Amino acid sequence: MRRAAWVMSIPAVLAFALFGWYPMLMAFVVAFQHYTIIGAPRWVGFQNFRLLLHDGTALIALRNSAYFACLTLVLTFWIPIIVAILLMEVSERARRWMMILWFIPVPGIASTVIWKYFYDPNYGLLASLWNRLHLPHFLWLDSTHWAMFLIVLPGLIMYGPGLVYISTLQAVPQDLYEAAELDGASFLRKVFSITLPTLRPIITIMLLISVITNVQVFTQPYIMTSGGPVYATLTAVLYIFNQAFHHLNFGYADALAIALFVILIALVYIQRRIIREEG
Amino acid sequence: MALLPAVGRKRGGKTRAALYAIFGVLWLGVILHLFPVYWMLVASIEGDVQNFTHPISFWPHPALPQVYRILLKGASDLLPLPMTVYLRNSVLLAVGVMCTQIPISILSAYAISRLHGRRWARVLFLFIIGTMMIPSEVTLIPSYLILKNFPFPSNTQLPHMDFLNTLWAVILPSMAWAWAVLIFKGWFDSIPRETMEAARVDGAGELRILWSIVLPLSMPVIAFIGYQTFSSVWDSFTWPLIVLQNVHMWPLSVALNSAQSALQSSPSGQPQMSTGVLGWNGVMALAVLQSIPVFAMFILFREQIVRGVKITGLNA
Repeated sequence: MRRAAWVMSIPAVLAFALFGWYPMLMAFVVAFQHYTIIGAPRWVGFQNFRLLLHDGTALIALRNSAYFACLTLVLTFWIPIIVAILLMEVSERARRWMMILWFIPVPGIASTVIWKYFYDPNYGLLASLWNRLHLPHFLWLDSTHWAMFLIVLPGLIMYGPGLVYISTLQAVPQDLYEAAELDGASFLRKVFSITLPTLRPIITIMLLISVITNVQVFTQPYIMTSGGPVYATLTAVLYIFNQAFHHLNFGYADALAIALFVILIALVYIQRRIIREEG
Repeated sequence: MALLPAVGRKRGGKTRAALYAIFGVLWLGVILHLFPVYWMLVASIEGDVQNFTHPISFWPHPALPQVYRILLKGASDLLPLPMTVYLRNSVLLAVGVMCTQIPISILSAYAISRLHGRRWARVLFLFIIGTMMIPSEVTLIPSYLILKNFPFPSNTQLPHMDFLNTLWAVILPSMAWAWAVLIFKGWFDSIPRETMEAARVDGAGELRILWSIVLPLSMPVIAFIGYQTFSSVWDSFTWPLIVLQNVHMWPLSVALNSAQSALQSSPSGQPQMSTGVLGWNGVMALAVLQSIPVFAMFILFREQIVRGVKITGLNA
């Protein structure tokens, strides 16, 4: 039995050692090296990190990432929750189909490209509607003020993951609601006293996941604006990408990635603390 | 019916109005959600140049074969190669990842759940789960450098393999996906031990037990993880963009992005079907190609996905 156990585990051990742990540890090595395309990498201690402190662009990128994450949270995070609550009101059969239609995923790249088409100032649907209505001239993705907002906007109707809220709500015993009703509880009263407390743990987790993934956003700004105009939509990971694969400053880019990682850990820690104090 | 009054006398016109309102909101959301998809389909078969300058007409002027024919022929202004090349790469990647990652995850999860002693099971489990701690952007650069000089992290005279611009550069790192192991282990833990003991007493080997008893019981979870793997590989963009810079190796996602950026930089921007120049209609055709398998999988596996979400407690 032991031999069988090891035979079965070895592929995974190899895979996780080579492609999990090895790059992870190397990340902390490369960050302390001067590693470019020319010559062998050489140790430079904390120089990459010192450079980082004086890099204004890195700061802008970090701020943009935070801005993106906040905008996404405010504009889109709550939608699937409300939809899940509403979906619980319709009949079982209707719910099953509504659920599929609501949360059918449009692949991220395709949906980003569709929206870029919508925003196209010459051929895009939105731009054309805008002109029809004779609204003031608008630069769309070329506008430094609005570009980031326009990158977040698709989230309003492309919807984040929501099935998890429904599956949590389906586990709530119905008598709870009936009892509340007999006590004369209103619609909103039931939402705030039964539904939301039930969802609370899962909302907390989804909130954490949302913040972490959105701070690391890359594809949407990369496809829509490549970080422009000027630096208006340059996010942290996009900046890391540019440093590594355009300027080939692997060492410096890696130090940036580690710095972002440290910031993320701090965020998670703060969020945990807040939750613990509340709960 | 949880929030609307359901008990006896209260069920009146007001409740019905509320129900209609809810339906209204839900349908509105669905329509909004599906509208971009509709627009993508319409634009992809659009042959009329006029419709690009005044895109208020919501009905297509189909030129279905033209757009796709140009894409199939290749060497359009959008893409240098026929779209079948990118489609093939995407399919190969999806199949390659699914055929390696899922068996590896199942085997190790089963071994950890049922075969190892308690101490080793714990060590191995932490060894695998530990790789989830670090976000992907941290390992992006070292993974790239390692795959370039495999197994060394930098240029070397020693014998090494360069996996860049081969599909292996995407398949190999995907083999280590801790999430799959986590889910499979949780599922195997929940299968009662007696189910396997009987077969073990009969003298069946461990692989045999796994194959003929455990796997049939695990089909819903395998379908769920399979769906997740498929959609994440099919939609993966950043990593292929980095390691597959050769045009012949691009998956659809990278090709789609390249097509739309070619459109941005082309001076005319004006689609002219006759000369084999594509505009947004060509880009949207590629987007359709990129979306269809994900839609199909989602609809095909909807039951398993909903159940999988319940089992894992987290989202698809």
